[in-house]
Amino acid sequence: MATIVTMASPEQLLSEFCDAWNAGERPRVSEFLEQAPAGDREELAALIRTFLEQAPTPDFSPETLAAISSEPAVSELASLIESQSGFWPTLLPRLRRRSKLTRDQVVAQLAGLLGLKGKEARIHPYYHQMETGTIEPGGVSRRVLEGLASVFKVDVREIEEAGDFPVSPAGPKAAFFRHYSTHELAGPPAMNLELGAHSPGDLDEIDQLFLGGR
Amino acid sequence: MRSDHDLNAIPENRFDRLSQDELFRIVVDCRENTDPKRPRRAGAAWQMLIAKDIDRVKGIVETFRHPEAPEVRVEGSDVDDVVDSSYERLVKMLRTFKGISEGEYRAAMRTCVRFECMDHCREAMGHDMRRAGSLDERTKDDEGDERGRFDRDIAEQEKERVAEEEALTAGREQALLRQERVRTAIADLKNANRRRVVELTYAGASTEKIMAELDTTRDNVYQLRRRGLKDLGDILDGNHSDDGQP
Repeated sequence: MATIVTMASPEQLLSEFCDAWNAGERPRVSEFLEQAPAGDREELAALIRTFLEQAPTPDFSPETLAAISSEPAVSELASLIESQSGFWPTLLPRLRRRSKLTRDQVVAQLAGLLGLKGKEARIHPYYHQMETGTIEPGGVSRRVLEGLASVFKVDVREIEEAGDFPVSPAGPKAAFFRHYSTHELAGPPAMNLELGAHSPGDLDEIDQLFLGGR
Repeated sequence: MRSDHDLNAIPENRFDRLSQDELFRIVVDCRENTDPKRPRRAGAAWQMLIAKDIDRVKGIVETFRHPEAPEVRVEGSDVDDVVDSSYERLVKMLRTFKGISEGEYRAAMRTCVRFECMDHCREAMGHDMRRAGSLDERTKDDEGDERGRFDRDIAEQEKERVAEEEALTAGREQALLRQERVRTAIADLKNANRRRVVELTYAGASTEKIMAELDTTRDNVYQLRRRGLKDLGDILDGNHSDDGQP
């Protein structure tokens, strides 16, 4: 990150920002705005915004690229490549953090909404799979999605679309919308903690909620 | 500049070494290819492209001011959250983005981030259209028939989704126009020194280099840069006040 010198005038701060940006030092806008007199901050923000719109992307050093790749937004982006569940691995943890809930608390509330109080231990592994992108989103029922939307106080569509979305264009959307047989959905045991080697007839209400589709 | 052939030979785990332009060329070349490996390669290039723009995205979020209410902005504590949401939007954009130039990408990126900022501000102001509630909640439709609240919402949400998609498309077109206007706007800066400082700044030149090029002082470069970018912003926002004075 760029080290900034304490300065006051907007022109100096703007130039320091531009220089740091072009040098690939990753200046943070908020730090520069804080250095400006209160009456000049709006002007400085507008100047930096104008600059950023067209500013060239610097040639980052390998160290800087490593730092960028460890940023949460970027590292979660990378994890999406392998996700079977669209954007759930980024969306669900973010919604949970925003709601200031632990995973256990989410599961407890979801169980209550689904009328399955006391079954949290069965629901937890499935929710874990949703957060880690190891469950087929087409198998998760609308009731579960609506329950999570209620817990997180968001539009159910936000969760549904995030799960349906093929992160890589290689994943044809049709594959995410088609109905899966329970045999297909069972997958390898490690990926379906609760289903294991059960046959389709063994699916109980909770399995159906997470594997039976909409 | 690498040829397309050379670019095609670069493995995905070396994409971090490519320029934005090269990454974008891979996206355009691979995104609609019938070979399943190629669209995946486009996805990897896209992700690197937007990853390298993380600071630009953050900066746009931090300096965002609502066009109709400049006092409305993204609070500091919400910036990371809005950046995360912007990234999801940017990843999704690959599926619908048909642009063939880096300028189009830049314009589309800016639109995505601005829309996310506006959505966030709308939510923060309590005007959120999103709904949440009990799964058993009942409501009546226009004909007075009782139905599940979420059943009713599906149709409304679909309308909202279509409207947002149309708005995003319009926003991208506007952003592209703005992008194209930037080139002419810089050329339109009446003051030659301000214009030169802006050009050199956008070319990546440091203050010292500009001082040497213009044979002037640091303070003067600071002033020229401030006034030049102010003029540029005014031209782009339709508040043209370039006085041509040094």
